[in-house]
Amino acid sequence: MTPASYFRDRGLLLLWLPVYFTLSHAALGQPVGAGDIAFQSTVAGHYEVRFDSQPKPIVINQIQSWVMSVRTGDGLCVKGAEITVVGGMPEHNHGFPTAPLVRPGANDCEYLVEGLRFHMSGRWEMSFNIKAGAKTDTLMVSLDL
Amino acid sequence: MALIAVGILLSAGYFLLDDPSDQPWTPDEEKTLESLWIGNLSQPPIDSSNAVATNINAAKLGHKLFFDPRLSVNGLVSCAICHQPSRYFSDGMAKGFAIGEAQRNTPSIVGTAYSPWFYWDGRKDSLWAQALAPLEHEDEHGGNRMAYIRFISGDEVYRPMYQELFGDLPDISDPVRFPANAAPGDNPEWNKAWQAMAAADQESITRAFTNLGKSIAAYEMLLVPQPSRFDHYVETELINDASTQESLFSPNEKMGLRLFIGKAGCINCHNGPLLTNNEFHNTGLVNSAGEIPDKGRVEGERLVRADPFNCAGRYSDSAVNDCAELRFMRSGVDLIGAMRTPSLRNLEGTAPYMHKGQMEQLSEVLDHYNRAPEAMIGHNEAEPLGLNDLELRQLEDFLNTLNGPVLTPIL
Repeated sequence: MTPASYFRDRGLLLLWLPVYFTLSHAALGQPVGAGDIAFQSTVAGHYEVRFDSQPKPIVINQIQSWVMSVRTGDGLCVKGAEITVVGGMPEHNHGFPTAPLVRPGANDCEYLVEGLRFHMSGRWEMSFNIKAGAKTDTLMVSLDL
Repeated sequence: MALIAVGILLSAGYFLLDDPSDQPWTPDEEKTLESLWIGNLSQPPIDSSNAVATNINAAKLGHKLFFDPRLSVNGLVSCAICHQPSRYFSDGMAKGFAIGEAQRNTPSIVGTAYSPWFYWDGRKDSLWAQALAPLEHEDEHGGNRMAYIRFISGDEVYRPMYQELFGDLPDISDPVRFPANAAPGDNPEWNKAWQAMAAADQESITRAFTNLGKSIAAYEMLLVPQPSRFDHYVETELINDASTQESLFSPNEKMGLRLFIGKAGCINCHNGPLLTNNEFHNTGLVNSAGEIPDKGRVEGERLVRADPFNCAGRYSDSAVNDCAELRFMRSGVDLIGAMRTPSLRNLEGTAPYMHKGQMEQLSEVLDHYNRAPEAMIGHNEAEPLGLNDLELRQLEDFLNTLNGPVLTPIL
């Protein structure tokens, strides 16, 4: 096995999708929602992911669900993936206050991330583990709330 | 002459040294201050489990019930005995006392509508479910649901208020079907009477009982804090009114605020407009002498899952899929000995502090966090802070700027 085939077989890629949200007071500007972020692809991406958050924009300390759309680089829906999510605030040394779960959504491309709660402002980092068939990828999301 | 010149230069240098309390807030710090500001306190989250949560008539009924000592076994205990308005809806004692002594410190009710969980260990998931528990607890109101419904049915003020909101009360005229006293629980005589009741009758009494809790909750939701001197300070920052700002906070108070959002790390848990994240943390508190260390949230989770009055239960008005907090509760060893973070608003009204009222003074609390001792159970999340006496004093000065009135709803 060569190093190249090792990585190809594993399909282990970090898909960096930096997503910045600013939760502003109404007086200071328009709030931004997760749904405003377009598809982003990675350096050699297996998957492209897009989020819609409900409520828009992301509200602090309120339990919420996100709709997550997962496609291949060719735009095909990734159906039947097993997705788990972990995350927290590294600067404050704690994880999620809840135990969110991801389940299949309204159609083949969509998944519902339920039970998310961001109980304080600051930098949150989330890691989605996406396994479809033999391929497993990780999506890292950063939020500044 | 040269010596005098050097002297003057040295003195000038001294006066030009940066005084940290004079430094303006950076844009990031300003954003942090704004996140603590009461102006950002939005409407409380919707409690889908309580159909009358925002009903003003329910709040009026709940307000009357809250202050009525007849809602107790001896006619002497109302909710207000422990949740005293003049003490910011707490009681000034280490542990609550009504008929007997409670297990823990009486929390303030102000602003609790914003929390998903109630009690120090979060063993109730709604205001109304919490309100019911003291009513039947032998150390608190000491009563039973059958007697309460009998009382409401016979009262010419309460009966019409109840019926307008919830429809007819059950017909309890038959003394065989509906004894004088009955409730499931620890009282053997009352429990025996309860078990002898028909299931449909138990159901109708329990349902009426939960309606009382939902009315009390509708009143409690209206208890929110009002602006404090700290909030006015943040406003002067947001509108760039430097001269008013200077007159609002002393240099020590400003330094205390710097420490709060910075080196002391208080804002890690005491964040948001209520200065609490309403989450559960083990901060290494010593239990009262002679008591087993309190398991905290792990016990609370077990209890809330089993509670017939929780969001998923049949007395809840929620659709099954609404109970997200209950469905997505997390587990973790860090929840052993973990207690819910209280709000830091109005600390002058809510001493003694911590879940068993272990600390009389704020200075003791700050000293505790500064030292971060080992926990008696579980693991203390806090790390020693290395703050000196002046810094501890400054933090305390800042905490005293968070005092303010409570909104008293006109009902």
